[in-house]
Amino acid sequence: MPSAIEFRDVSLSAADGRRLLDGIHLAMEEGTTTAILGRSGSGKTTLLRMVNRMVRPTSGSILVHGEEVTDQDAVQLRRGIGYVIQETGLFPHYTIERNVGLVPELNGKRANKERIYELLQQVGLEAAKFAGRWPHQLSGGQRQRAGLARALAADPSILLMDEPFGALDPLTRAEMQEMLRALLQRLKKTVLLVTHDLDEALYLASRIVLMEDGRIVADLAARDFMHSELLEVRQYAQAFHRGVAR
Amino acid sequence: MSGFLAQYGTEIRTLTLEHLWLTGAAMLFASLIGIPTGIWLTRHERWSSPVIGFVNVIQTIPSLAMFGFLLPLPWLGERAARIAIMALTGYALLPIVRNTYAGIRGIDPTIRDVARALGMTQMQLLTKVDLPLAAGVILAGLRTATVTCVGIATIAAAVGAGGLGEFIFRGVASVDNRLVLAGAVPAALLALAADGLLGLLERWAQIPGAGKS
Repeated sequence: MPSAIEFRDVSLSAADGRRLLDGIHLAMEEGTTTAILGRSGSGKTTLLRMVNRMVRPTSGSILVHGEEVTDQDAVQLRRGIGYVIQETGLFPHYTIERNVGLVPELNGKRANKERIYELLQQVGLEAAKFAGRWPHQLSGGQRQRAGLARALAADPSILLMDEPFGALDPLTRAEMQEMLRALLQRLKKTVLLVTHDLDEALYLASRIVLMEDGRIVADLAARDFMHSELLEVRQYAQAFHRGVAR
Repeated sequence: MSGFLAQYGTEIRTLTLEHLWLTGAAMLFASLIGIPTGIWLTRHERWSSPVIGFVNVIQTIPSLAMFGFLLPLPWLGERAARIAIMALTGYALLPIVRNTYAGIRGIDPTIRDVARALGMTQMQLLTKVDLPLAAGVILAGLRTATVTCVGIATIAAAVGAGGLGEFIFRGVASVDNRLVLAGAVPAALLALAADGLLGLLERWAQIPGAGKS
């Protein structure tokens, strides 16, 4: 069986020749959660956005379910991949219900109300209360839950998450992480989680890929990560915990 | 006063309707040209400065001169109303093109990015995101354009296109302020009514809590 997502020698150069990504090799198996860890500017978001063809590599290839993304129709590819970002990106002119039902709607299917309610309950939003509300009437955490429900609506096998809880306060973030962990254990999706938060990566992922300046500097099972002797890993862990303690 | 109205009442009504027709037709054409142009510019960024610059230049041509320029043109020059509608369309373009362009450009880039990442086609991005979120700004452009057109349409009488300007020109020629007012007051009321109506529409199109995503 092919990997759910595979990067083969992927590189990306900026217009000025700077290397943004450099020789990335990576394969993610079906149903696993992988965290891409790194500082801002390390290239982790760019890597994530190559999976749904929002960014094209300069060289190398990206395969989703064994098929090159450039050979696939971008629109169909994207509809089959859940996408969650830090700023939520809920459409301000749609109710929560319509936001959540958007991808099925794009596919020309009438969004099924029962399904939307079920999704909202799954992410911990009381459906009867929230379905009719507007995004601006929700708190940051609630919006993030709605964003997650939207990403799950078309039942994609792959879920891309870019700092999904980055904008939340620590308490809300912890709640969300707990909810997501339980949800992922049930749903068995292939998840690519971009984060700078080491604790989040350790808590949610089974594998951690550490990036620095567009290169992968460590690729470890989550349980081995903190015992690693790799200089880059130890430095990141130290820097991260110093940052959190401050 | 009542004697004046009895004498000119029907004519005021006719000329007001004519005025409305000139403005309405021009607004229709300007919208049909201006909104698609504004949308097109958001998809072809490098054309935005030259095109907006060009419609801006149209705006700077004095209206009386514009009517004069168009007079000798074939087909157009045959009927004064054609000239008037053409000129008014030109003046209405700038606010429409500019606001359509700025309205779409002003949408939170994250929202448009997510729209694409969720798998919207170009058409869906336009109809489900760009137009609804820019509607308020586009309507504000239509409103400015309409009010401007109602005003400039009074000059159209100079080339014989009719409209309320006819009273004004006659009044000026015969030094009769009542005639000037018979043209100016209804024109002002038309402008106010158009402004109020489109203002309501604009408010209705505002997105609740827009700006926050």
